[in-house]
Amino acid sequence: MQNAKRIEIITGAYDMREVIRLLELAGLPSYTLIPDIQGKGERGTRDADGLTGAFKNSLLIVVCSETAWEGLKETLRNLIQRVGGMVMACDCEFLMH
Amino acid sequence: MSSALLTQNLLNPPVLFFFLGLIAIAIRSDLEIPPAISKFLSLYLLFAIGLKGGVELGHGGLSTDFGKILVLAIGFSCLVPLYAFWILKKKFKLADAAAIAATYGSVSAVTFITASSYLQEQNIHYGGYMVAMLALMESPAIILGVMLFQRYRTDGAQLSTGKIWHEALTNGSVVLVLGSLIIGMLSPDAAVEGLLPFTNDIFKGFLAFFLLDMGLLAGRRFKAITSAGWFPWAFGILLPLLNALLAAMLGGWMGLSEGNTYLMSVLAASASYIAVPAAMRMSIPEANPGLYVPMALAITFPFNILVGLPLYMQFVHWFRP
Repeated sequence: MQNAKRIEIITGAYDMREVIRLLELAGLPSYTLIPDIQGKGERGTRDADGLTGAFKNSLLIVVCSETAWEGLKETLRNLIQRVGGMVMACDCEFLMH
Repeated sequence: MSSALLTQNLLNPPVLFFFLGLIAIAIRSDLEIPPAISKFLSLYLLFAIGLKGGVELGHGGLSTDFGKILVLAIGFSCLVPLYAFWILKKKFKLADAAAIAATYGSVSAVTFITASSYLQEQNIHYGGYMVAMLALMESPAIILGVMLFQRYRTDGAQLSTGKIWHEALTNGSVVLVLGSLIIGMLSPDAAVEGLLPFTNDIFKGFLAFFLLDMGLLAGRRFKAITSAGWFPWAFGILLPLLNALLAAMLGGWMGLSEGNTYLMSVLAASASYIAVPAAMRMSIPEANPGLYVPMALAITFPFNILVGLPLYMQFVHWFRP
């Protein structure tokens, strides 16, 4: 078991492409994505309804080291401030393969 | 407008299904259509209308109306966002004004499809190239909306113009309509005949089912727009009326056929709630989709379907020589 950071990012379905690009630039190409999630925040309700992705959110989960998280924090903050959403980080134990 | 024309439209099964969707939301029914089916229905309608337009283009080619219609289509899709933005920026914040201007400059494929079905019932012919105009009129307003936002924003941030052009020109509905149009145009009649049970025979049933879904969607979005005051309602009804009237007047003056003028009026009066929100979320995320989507979907779309379709035909008749 390894100690790591579990990061959860919730933002608009369209904006998730940019999140993934930023993660890849930070050397984090692996992630888990849950599409079409609903919720309500400061920018209104996202009910995953309609023919467009404008009202759909996605949730992305990524596990990384504490150092990687520190390097990523400000980049994600800038993006979320612009497009809306939230980022949560917590300590976790990481078991793989 | 004669009451007979209005009643005839309101008693049309697809329009009645639209009402049913609205009523289902009003009485808090749990009726819903799974999102994947909604998506399929919208793709089916674009596929069918594109193919039909392509087949007609293959048969009839380009009539003398084509060049005039092209000028009108380009004119409306470039001028509507400009004058809409000029009005809107007095009432809304910049990002919202740009997104709403793009919404009203772009067009609604579902309104166009319902209008073409209305024409078929009246036995009025229209050119297959009108489907190409539908695809053509989707994108310019998106680009203009983003450019207007860029021009007036004060924070100095820059958007990637390549990304905007890519999103505007490659959005799914434009690709599917244009692709189906070209396939319909190139395919021999015998080959297309095999597709007719899918593209023609069940078309109206699918349209009715899709309008039920649109009624549910519009009903849900009503709530979002009720707190926004009177202006979105006035704008969402008066701007389409003005655009339709202008298109009917110009179509009559240019001597376009009845069907082509009517469809141009419907296109000019419609507002996009599929292509534009996708593009705006990517290029102007500061704009509130809780405003520009309900304006198009819960105000303008129902108005066009319930009242606009027969009323715009009346406009066309007023200006026909």
